[in-house]
Amino acid sequence: MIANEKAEDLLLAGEYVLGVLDGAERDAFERRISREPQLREHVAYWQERFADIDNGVMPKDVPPALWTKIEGALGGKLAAEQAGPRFSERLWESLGFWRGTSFAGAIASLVLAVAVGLLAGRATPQPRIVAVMLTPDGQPGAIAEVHYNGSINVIPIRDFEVPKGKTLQVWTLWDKEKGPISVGLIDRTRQALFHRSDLPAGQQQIYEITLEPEGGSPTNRPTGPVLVKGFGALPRL
Amino acid sequence: MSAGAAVPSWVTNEVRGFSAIAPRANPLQRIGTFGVSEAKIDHSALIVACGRGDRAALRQIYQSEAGAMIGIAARIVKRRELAEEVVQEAFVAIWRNAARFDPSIGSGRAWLFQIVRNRALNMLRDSSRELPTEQDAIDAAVDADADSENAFERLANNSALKRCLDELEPRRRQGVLLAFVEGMSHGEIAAKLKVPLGTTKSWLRRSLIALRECMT
Repeated sequence: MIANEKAEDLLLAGEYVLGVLDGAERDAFERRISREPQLREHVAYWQERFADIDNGVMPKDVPPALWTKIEGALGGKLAAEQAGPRFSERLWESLGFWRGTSFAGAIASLVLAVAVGLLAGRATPQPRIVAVMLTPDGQPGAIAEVHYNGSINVIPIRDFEVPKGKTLQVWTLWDKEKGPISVGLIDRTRQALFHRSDLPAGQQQIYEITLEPEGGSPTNRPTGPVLVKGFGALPRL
Repeated sequence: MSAGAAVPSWVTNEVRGFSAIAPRANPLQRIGTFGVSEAKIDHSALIVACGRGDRAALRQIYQSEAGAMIGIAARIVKRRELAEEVVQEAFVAIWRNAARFDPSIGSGRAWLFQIVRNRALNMLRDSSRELPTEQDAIDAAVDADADSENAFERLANNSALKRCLDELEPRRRQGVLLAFVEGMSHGEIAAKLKVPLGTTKSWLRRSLIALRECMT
């Protein structure tokens, strides 16, 4: 049995390196990578086996402006150490609405989520606003990072069941008169990046995810159950 | 071949197989003692240096690898400007993750390229982007596979990977290359090879098993 599971994990690592795991499978696998050293060895095993292909790639010309853009994205002064758990700890401190809610493991989940995002090569420039969205029973379920360029990075940190014919829809609300405005759709539990420079972003602005019919809410207002909900907050970077 | 058996023949050899991964030399020995253009770059050492906040090390990785990275990303996202964006994001991720890199587990260069590939796949499958729809991608996939053909042709003759890929049935080999080189999904590969989705999945798995047996 144990040998079988190992064999299955090795194959899974092979599929991961081939890049054929679908979004949810890939996310789940990356979550496991972050806590199972053996999986990292499996992944390294296949990376080494396939390395000749990448090592033989014909290099392309590098535009001179690319390095400038990278430096810009790094903010000029960021030290690598600052991107890890410390960020999460500060996030924890900054989210007043979490206080008074008691749930074990919330910090752990968040640290893990941030670590997984980084591990997966998904780090993005420093966010302007971060919202941690909680499930109705107070568990962290997703994170939204809103960037200065208007991109909104939504990262689920738990699995949401999305039945056939349904989709996840992200909303934000900053003006009760206007009501919730759709940010975009996510077809299953996975990270999604939306480019919405037309939307404001502020502290106490609400972000939420609802379950809607495929293609999004027909009324352009949330119709399905609210899966997670949270307030925008300033990350202390 | 035992490919059809429920339990692959190498299951019992797991531990021996894993220990066959070569231990890495200490990456710190050679850092910074050579010019970027001529000598071999020690990727692991440079990544470790990035983890300590050494921006010059990141720059060195960039100077040595950005061109190859754009090449790898372009095979997946197909458009030059998107490939450059992928590489830009990859370098930010490299910088921020470098402290977590463990040089004892795998090659630094492979770690760098995995980040590029992940970013490229994210971009390819990011639903909010104005990339070709899945159907367009499938249609395009049916027409073009030059990148994966080229990648295979460019493998050195003494490459174990080339020898072992050569032993695969041609369409299975093509499936492996379409996935790794062009970032195609199971669905796109199935369309390209004109086989059912389930067949594609099992072909790829069996190809991995065969490659492992061949390359161990």
